[in-house]
Amino acid sequence: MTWRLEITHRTMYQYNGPVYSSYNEVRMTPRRGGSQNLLSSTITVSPSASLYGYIDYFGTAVTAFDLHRVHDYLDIAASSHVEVLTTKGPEHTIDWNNLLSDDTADNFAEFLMTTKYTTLGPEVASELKDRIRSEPTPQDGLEVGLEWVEEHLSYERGITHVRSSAAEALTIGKGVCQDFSHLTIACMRSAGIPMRYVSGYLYPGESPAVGESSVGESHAWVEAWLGRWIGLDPSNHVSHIDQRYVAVGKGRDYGDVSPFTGIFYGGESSSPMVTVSITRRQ
Amino acid sequence: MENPFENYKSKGESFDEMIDDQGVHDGNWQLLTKAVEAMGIDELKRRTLECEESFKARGITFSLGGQERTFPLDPIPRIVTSTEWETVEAGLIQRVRAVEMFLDDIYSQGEVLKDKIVPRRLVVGSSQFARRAFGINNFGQVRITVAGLDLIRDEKGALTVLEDNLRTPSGISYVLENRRAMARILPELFESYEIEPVVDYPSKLLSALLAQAPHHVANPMVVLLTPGVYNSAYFEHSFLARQMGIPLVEGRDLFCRANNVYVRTTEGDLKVDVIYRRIDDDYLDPVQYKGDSVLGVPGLINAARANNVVIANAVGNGVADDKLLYTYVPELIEYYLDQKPILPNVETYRLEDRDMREYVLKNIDRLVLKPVDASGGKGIVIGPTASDEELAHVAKELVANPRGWIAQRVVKFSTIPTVVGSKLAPRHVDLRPFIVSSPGERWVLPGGLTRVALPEGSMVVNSSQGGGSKDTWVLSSRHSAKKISIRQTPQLRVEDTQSTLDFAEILESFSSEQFTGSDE
Repeated sequence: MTWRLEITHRTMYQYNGPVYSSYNEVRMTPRRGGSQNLLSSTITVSPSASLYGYIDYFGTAVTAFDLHRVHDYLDIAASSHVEVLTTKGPEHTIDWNNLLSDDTADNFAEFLMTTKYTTLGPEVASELKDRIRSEPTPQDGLEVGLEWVEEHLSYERGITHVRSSAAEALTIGKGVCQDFSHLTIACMRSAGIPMRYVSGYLYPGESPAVGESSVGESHAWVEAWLGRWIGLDPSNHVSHIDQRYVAVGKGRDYGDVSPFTGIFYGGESSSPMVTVSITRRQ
Repeated sequence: MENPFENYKSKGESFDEMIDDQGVHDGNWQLLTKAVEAMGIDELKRRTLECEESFKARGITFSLGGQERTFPLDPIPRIVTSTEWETVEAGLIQRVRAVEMFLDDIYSQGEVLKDKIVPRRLVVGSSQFARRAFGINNFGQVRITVAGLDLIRDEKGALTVLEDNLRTPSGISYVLENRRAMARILPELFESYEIEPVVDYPSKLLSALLAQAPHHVANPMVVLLTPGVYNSAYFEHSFLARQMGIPLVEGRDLFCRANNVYVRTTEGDLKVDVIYRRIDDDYLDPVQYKGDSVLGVPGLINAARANNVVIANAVGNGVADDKLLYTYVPELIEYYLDQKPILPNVETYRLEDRDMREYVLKNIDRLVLKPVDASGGKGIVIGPTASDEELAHVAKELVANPRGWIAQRVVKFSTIPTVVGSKLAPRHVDLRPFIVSSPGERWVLPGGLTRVALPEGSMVVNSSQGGGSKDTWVLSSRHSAKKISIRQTPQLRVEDTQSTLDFAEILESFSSEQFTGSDE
């Protein structure tokens, strides 16, 4: 089944005081390829600036710009049209020997790394490794790992923050999609399953009416490599992502895909107003 | 007067560069020893002290723990023959060329990784692998504009590579200042020896930087970017900027606008085309790296990505001077150049290999343990001199993180006569040659920085840990011991000299003309 989605992602910063200059990078352009076809995409910035685009190491489109006039707000609007299809890929038949080979360790080195966001205590990591690897296949191991995450983390907003690590979320036992993703990544990587972090958008309903706009959200989920990449959403207990998911950034953790980064001089920062609206066009 | 060379003997297993274990002097040192004998050690020390005072007065110092210190100059130079230097030069160029190709490769197609010459996980797992700078194309740039390798002479006298420094190697200012000082301490010898000059370095570096400017620029603006006065090598930064006639800038003097870099000057903002940076990658651009860095320039990486400015040395070179990657350089030379390495590596053990790790743990008290990504001798544990606690600690570390460590055989560095009290005694030395590369040329500075460990028996040559330096004299190919005039003195025993030094011929041919080398 194919959906055509129109996504508008608006980020508005209001500074407390004048900002003299700022340097910014935006990762808000949906990816091309796989189950996703990018039909069009624009990013507009106010106050106006000349935009510079490039593709980063992990294949994510980046828009960079700097501002040098005194300003007290920043408004970023990212709009795109994406075609998304649900793929039912071939059954994954990888066994532990293949998964734990030198080839996997080389080809997916980045997605097996322990990063600042995806570190667990050595005891937890080693216990998880034993539990997951004692399953007959990596696919079974993945399910055991997901159950473990489900047992140890419940969804609650406002407890963790954007810099929280998997270990911190685990201690608190509560978190949002970013924490679910980091904890799932940390858990699976400890057992040698390559995992990557995905940022993007999630359509909130099950079967949207064409032409009707919905309040969507920025979302994060993960992909596991079991002979091929499989998308799964631990915070919504979805084991195969479908056409409701539009991927933007992929990387080792949040740090590689952060939708907006930058530094500014002057003023004072505040939390941005973020709205995402998604409309099914076809 | 007492002869300072009397009783000079090479020590134990180390190779001495002046005298062999039979007590036979290398012929090339004869003139030097004669001159020092004639002058006497007190006069030599007096002249050296005078120079050190002038170093201090002119601020030729490095800072250590907030204190400004001079790098002690030992007045006995190191002598290297032209024949040997030709080989070293070829070896250095070969090595830097292969590593340059490696860096180009891993930051683009990664063929060397696909061909499994170097495990991919080792490269992308390096803390120095620059994902944020991936995709900077370097049109007409070289990644390693300045390389400073560390060489040592092993027990048999063979020059061996100990380390590659491809990020922001320092030490060149001491080479240039030491040469000037030596011309005052032993002016007589500059007339007799044909010594390859080092004075070309700043102009060679400047040409290499200019040659890398983006193509459309007519009169490229080159600047030297320093972390500032608190950096231990600040003197060198200001020295080089002055010698090259380019602005010395800190991060706050530069700014980016729409992917162009400008320097603030009294004449307004001027566009910058090439940055010779002496700041580490992590501090270069707070948009990409450490957000709290005040040393860098926000927007710099994207300005380079847009090919509006060239950063030299390139971002991400550190992945190739990782000490574990070092063990693969001989294989890289064969892979990229289809040649045998001219300069060998020190025998090194990779700890990710289970058998090697077992071997290292068994023999830990006889090996040197080094963290793979540290520089300046930090974190190194020398097995034979380390305490049991230190060894137990490092053993635990390297089992926990085998990617983070290497183990090496303990090499006894060669020795050179060095002033100790009123005598000359053998002290251990290393050598840091400098290789300057531009798109069309690689140039090796003749000689380099010879560092000497001043405490007896010590092999730690770092300036921060009691090291000193020596001038390094590469004799020109025009130089010939046969043409050197030596006034025969009673102390000289002819049977101690090498056969190349024919005294009958020397005495016969003694004439002032011979000093000038006019028979090219």
